[in-house]
Amino acid sequence: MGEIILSTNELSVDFRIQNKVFGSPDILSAVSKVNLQIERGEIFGLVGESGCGKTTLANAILGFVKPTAGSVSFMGHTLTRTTSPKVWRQARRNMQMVFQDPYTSLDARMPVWQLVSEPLYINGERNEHVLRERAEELLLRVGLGRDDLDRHVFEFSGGQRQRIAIARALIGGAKFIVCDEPVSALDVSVHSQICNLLLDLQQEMELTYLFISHNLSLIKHITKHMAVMYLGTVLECGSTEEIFRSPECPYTQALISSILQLHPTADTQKIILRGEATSPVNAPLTCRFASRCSAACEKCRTAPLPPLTNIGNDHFTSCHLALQEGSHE
Amino acid sequence: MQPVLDIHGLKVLFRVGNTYIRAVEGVDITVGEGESVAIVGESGCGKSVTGLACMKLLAQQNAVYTAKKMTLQTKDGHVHDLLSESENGMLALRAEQIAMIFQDPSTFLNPVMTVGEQMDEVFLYHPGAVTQEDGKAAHKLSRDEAKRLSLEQFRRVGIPDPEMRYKQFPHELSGGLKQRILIAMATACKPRLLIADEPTTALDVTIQAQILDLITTLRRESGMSLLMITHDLGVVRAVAERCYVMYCGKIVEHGYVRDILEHPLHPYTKALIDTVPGLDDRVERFVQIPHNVPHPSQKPSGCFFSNRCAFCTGICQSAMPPLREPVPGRQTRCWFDKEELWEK
Repeated sequence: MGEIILSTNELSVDFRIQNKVFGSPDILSAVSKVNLQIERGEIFGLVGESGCGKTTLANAILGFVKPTAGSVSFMGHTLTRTTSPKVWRQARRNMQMVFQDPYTSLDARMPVWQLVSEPLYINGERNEHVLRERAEELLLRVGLGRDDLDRHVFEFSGGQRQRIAIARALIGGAKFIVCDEPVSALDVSVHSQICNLLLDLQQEMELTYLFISHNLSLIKHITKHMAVMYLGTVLECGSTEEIFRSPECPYTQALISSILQLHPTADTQKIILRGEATSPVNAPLTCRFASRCSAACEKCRTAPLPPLTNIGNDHFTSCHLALQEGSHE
Repeated sequence: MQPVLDIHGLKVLFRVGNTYIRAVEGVDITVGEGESVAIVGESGCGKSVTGLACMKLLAQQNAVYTAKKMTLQTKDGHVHDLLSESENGMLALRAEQIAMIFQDPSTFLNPVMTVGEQMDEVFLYHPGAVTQEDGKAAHKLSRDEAKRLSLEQFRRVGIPDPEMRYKQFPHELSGGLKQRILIAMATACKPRLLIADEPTTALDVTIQAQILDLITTLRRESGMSLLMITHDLGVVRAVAERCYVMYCGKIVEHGYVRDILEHPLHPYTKALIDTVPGLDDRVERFVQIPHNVPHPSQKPSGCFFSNRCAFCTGICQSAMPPLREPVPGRQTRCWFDKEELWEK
């Protein structure tokens, strides 16, 4: 295993919902005791349905929301709830985020050179000449031109806007980039352009990505390790190849079977899940998927969710069923 | 045999200031009885506009549409000319003969009415569709009768605990449930044709599987025809038998889904298929199509795909190829045969 650039230790984020006049507030547990380890220079995939806490986890890693419990370790910094904003800011210089929707995440009133160089400006660089030069360098790197420096975002298509967002994330020299569904707002034919650009940049600049997506086939192709989230908990994680070869948790199996393939090699049995994800408000300590799981047994509904356990070949799962089978053999 | 929906040479123009933008430029689409047909294309290719034009739901003030022929055959065998149909005539046809579901269910439900009331309205406005069936004349439905039918319809589309859902407002429901409500409303009067405009794009993959399964089941039960509008070739493969590929307001390829996916004839279709890598082998780089979809007012001269096509030659830039039929039952809008292009 390579050097770990970022790890989370029992990271939890709770939101308090005070919708009653009296009484204690409800607790919405968006991220619950998540342990991830991301190696330097890899692409780590994070999959799950909407509302499962993928984006909240990313926000907690970057410190946009304060974790309720647990910590984030990043390049020698240990970041927790009580860490001072100054330390968070310092750590964050090396982390950046590319957001899902390039139509809303870029300021419409700034010219492109200002947008792209804003991270440098915030970090104290005030020389306009330097800022423009650096912005131009990055724009060329992501496939845009010198003429684009003084244009505004409304003049660009979705794919070009996402390129601007990528340039903005890279200009400060960040080594760790969180890509939160970077292609799902784009046209199908532009998907590949942006994916290839991200892959090229990763190779050349030795970047590490935390790649959030609900597109499993994309995750399969580009990532080395992945984690499957369900209602704030990680149900399965480890080597992408291994998880796709033999998914242990019934939820992962359902997710993989729901990929709509163009040329299926064998007509695989489709698993159609019943119902929908339950609410993460006052979620139980048991397996949160148990209510939708077709294989769930008594233990799944009553016993607390076991921690992620290695079942061999760099493959971790917290599914009762998989762990039971393993102990029988 | 008379198809359920028969469109020839549909053109849709939008007035923008003093100019017109050509959104759809001469599209021929037929949907047979009980058939499932897909229109696939990227955003801005005119596929949704085609769907809305079939329902005559485009605003009269700025949309102009013309067609050589646009007919809908109703359940009793009568053929309606949709172009000359009055708005009152369309009101009778919609829901009972032709119905539509949309991409984002939350914008198509009224936020200040419970979903139950909205469901009831379908029956209250179209009593004929449910009371005429056993030969008796249509009569007005009472609120209670409508409610009973609504609950039955909710059960049919697999909404758990319909009594509770009946009293809820759209904001209390998840995206998947809202889409089920829309499907319940659209299929309440057992229409002959259901137009589904990207019904699963806003949903999660596991919910997408549920909704596609539901649409297929309903179609099998009632023998309804389906026109599925989508950008996802995976969805096309899952639900449709025949498929039209659209690009910049024109149909560029047409044929059976299996043929198209295995042996595409048009470079655009081939490129679209190639951008979706299979699951079996890991790819290092994704196949990409250069540039972007052109804006409707800035389409290139000649073949609209010429500026992005890997096989573009002189003739492609000067003249738009006709839709020709190199193989029986399959059409392509390209100057070349695929053997000349990529099977050399």
